[in-house]
Amino acid sequence: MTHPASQLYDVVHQRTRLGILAVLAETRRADFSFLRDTLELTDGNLSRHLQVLADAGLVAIEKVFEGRRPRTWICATDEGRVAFDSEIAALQALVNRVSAVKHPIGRAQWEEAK
Amino acid sequence: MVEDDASALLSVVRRTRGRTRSRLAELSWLPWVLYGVLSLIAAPLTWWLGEQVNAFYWTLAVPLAVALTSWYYRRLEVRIGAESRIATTLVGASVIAVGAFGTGAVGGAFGWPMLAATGPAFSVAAGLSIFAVDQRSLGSALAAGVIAALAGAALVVGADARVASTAMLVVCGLVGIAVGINCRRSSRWPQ
Repeated sequence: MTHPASQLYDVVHQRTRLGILAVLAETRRADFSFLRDTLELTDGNLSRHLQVLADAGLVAIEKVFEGRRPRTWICATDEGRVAFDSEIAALQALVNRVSAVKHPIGRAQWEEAK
Repeated sequence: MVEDDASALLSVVRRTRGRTRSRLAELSWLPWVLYGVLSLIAAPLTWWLGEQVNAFYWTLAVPLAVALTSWYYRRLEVRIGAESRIATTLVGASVIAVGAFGTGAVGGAFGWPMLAATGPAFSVAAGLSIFAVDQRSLGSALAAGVIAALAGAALVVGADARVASTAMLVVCGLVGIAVGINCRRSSRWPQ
């Protein structure tokens, strides 16, 4: 059986990028300032991580003009949503594995034996 | 350690998803209040003029309310910079619309007044349950529970259909307005 850590995807397995995909998982699309405010990031930091995700094909970035105002909309691609779900599943498997090692006879019995 | 990191990342994801959902859910005050007011208006119509007038009223009111709600969401989502996922909203709204009109029509056609009286309330509760699960919304879950419990109670005690129908509309209206006001008070967005 493979260790769940081998299922982790380096591009997604980073706190900020995982946060970006988490916001996008809850929305159809979000603009740059919504992501920045929700994740409490600086413009530069967010731009850098978005570029990494875009280069990997996990998000699509659309720059438009609304009136005279430029606006950047970001949405997760299908590949991005799959990568996010797989990452969450891998992380959950890791946590479960630790829990199983710590409490091999089951939490309830472990508490009782304690 | 990888496992500690995994646990910390999962909690970041949970917090971020929750924060995003709650920011988007704050926008839903208008639909709650709007459908609440529409239900309260429908109550006296049902009481004095009967189920047929009530059905006619909803046939006119629902398309107008859907148009207003769509315009409101479009306008506000563009302003705040995030668009909600629409698929689950459509499923929930369809359950309410099809269920309410369907049970009302079947109850009327086959002479089952209690189906016509309580069916729409159960449909609203089912639709709200879908919203509650999708948005992890306690307000929607409570509203669904209260409405379903009262509709169930009306069935169990065998209340008069007209009384039950009117009471359901009043309850739906008051619950909608209460949840909407609560959303509006907690909203941080410019409206």
